[in-house]
Amino acid sequence: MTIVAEQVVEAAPVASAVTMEAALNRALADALRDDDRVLVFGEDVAKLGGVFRVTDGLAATFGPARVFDTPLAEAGIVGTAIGMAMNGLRPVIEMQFDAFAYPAFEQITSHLAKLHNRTKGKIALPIVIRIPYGGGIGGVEHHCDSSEAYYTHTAGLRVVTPGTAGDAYALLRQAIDCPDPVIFLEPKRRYWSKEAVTLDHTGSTVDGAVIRRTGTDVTLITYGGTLGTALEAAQEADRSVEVIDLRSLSPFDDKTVAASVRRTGRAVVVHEASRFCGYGAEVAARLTEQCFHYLHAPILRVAGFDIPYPAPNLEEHHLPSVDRILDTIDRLQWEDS
Amino acid sequence: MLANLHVDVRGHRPAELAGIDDRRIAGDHALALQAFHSGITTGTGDVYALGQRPHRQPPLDLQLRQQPQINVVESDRLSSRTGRRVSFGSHNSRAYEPQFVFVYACLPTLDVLRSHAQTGGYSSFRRSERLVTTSLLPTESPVALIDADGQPVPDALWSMPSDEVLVALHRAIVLARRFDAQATALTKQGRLAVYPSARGQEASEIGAALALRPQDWLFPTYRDSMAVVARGVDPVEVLTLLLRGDWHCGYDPYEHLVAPQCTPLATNTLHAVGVGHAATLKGEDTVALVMLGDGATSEGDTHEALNFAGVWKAPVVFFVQNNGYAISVPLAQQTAAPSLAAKGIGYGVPAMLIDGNDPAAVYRAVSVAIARAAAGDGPTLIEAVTYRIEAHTNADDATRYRPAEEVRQWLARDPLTRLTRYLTDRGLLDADRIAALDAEAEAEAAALRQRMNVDAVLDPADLFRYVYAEQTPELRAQQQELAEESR
Repeated sequence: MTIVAEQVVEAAPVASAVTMEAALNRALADALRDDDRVLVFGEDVAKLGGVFRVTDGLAATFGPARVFDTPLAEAGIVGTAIGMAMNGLRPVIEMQFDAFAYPAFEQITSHLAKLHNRTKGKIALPIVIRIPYGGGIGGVEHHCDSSEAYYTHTAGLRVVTPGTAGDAYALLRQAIDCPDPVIFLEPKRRYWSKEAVTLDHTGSTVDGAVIRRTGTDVTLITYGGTLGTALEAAQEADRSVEVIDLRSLSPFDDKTVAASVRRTGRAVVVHEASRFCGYGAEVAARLTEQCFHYLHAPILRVAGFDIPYPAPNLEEHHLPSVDRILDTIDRLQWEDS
Repeated sequence: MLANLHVDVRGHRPAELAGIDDRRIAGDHALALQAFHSGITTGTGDVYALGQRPHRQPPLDLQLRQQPQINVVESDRLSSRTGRRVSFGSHNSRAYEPQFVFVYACLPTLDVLRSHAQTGGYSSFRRSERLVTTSLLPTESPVALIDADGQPVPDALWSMPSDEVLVALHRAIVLARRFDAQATALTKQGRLAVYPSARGQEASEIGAALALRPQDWLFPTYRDSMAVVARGVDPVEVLTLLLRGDWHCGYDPYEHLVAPQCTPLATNTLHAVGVGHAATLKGEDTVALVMLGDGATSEGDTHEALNFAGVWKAPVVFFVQNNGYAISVPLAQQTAAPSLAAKGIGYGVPAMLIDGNDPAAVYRAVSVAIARAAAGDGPTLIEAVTYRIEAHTNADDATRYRPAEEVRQWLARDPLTRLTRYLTDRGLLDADRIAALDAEAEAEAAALRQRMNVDAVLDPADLFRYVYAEQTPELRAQQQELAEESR
């Protein structure tokens, strides 16, 4: 991302163990405090504080003109946010669950993504759509989709997803400051993951991918919900595994990722979305184009199967596991090197 | 009973004031009483009222001890004609004169009453919640002020716009019709990729556009080029970009507060609600008027927009031009509702059904709706009944789905003919003036032709410039790729 960060006016926040959920809440509160054009609205975000409590307490602090519940209609939420942004506000809106954002798909792809281009930059839409996404929490159907590829395939949108509490704070602050529309994907199963971190968004560290763990033999490329699984696999592997957390899915940070793959010569993309035409396909294709002569093996993918998201009692078979990642690493034609 | 109106009755419930059973008051009767109640008394027994439309309820028996003097307050200008009896505009109410006085008030009436109450220093107008239901309903047939023959409609719901407004409407309609014909001609010559004509809909296009205040937003569709041009956007900018195919939208939406012409149906209704609600949140006096067609009312976004606007009381006017067909599908296959305006009640949005070929009615209805919105009373749904004389676009063949006789019937209801006749009858227009106007329209069309014959220089690099606020490295690379290709 090339989002310009604003100066933090408050005193430096204290480093303490926070959950991703709390970090997101803080980011929203700080953004509401720092910029009175920022609004938070959606279904159940005000009084209830959101079904995941990410917006807890915001309505009480900032009042009903800044944080409010809407009628239950996702196209309505996105469509009215577009109008509000046209009229100078900066809406941060919530889609309650991944699959519940689909009614808003036309507003997102036909207008949110295109109005800036349609008007040669006259209309800017600084809107953030927060979408809790992905599975791993025992959710029922329509509550566990990994819908990132729909958005990354749409020009005009930025798509980001944090893997840690610290990134959640920084990414959300920068997304709110961004002049472009941002699809902000929150990995549900990492909401309660804790990190001892200073919540800060002034650095430039979230502008692209980050190397979470260094290694020399193989690069694991992942993001969001599977970051924890990938790190665990790297820990258990009997080879030296580098782990990259993409954070920004669109635009893609070619520089960081390609440099790593050129170093290690092997790469595996890990995500829980289905494999066919999934985000990993683009990553593998790009890296093949950019790093072909450095590669010792084809780039492999560990992804969800090409099936509708399974019922909760079967989801463990679908989600990329540590074992599946380790098995895949083993298939990287080590015999040739 | 109504003699009580001699005194200041503010602070009392209308039922108390009328001395009748509260439960018997319903609908417009109660509205009328509420109107009396809200400071419409002048201290001399006068009753100010405007807008008379009996609803479905039978008249309420309110015997007067004495016949009050009635002032009819005329529209937003608040001129009054003392001594004239309230005119009910309906056959069944006349029977009750002079023994009874009923003031049938529908929503626009209340707006006028409110504005009168405000300018007259009266207490603010209140509407009790239980009265809302009937006040949301549109009339059963379209309201007109000037009929198809150019004659003023007797006992019309609203007063006629001023002469100045009518003359301005006439001029803009003449220019719009010529512009539309020129655009159609340019399409036939291959200078435009496509042009959806609005011929026959000029009263709706121009009446709505001219009723907007400078600070109001217009959200047009692809068929509303007339309204966009009437709002001040350069016709060349309208035609070259979307319709010639040079770019999707070329004008600056903020210059005249005109959103890009929307091609997907009804999606812009939500944008209008957003702009309007943002204005409310920011404390701005801005109303958003969104145009849509009969077909678009079937889209989910229309439903969501009306619902959001109703809940938020957003300052929005939903202006539906019911031109009879969604490309080829007639209205009967689009909805089972008694009218498109009737849909408003489901969202708590008051509605008006108007003759969309009567420029005076369109102008007045939109003005009333804008005044309501600006006063903080929320959205209005207007259905303007009109007809698309041309095919859907130049690529369409309308003879496949509608009979020529139907088109002829609608040509007889032409908006320009009727307004011309009305103004001519009143000495506001003569042959010389008409000839001068035609010459002006002809000159504008010629200038447009000439400017349209100049091909724009298109820069393919523009394809990559506006996708994001700041170009991404990927798009920079792709722009370079294309540049090398064209070398």
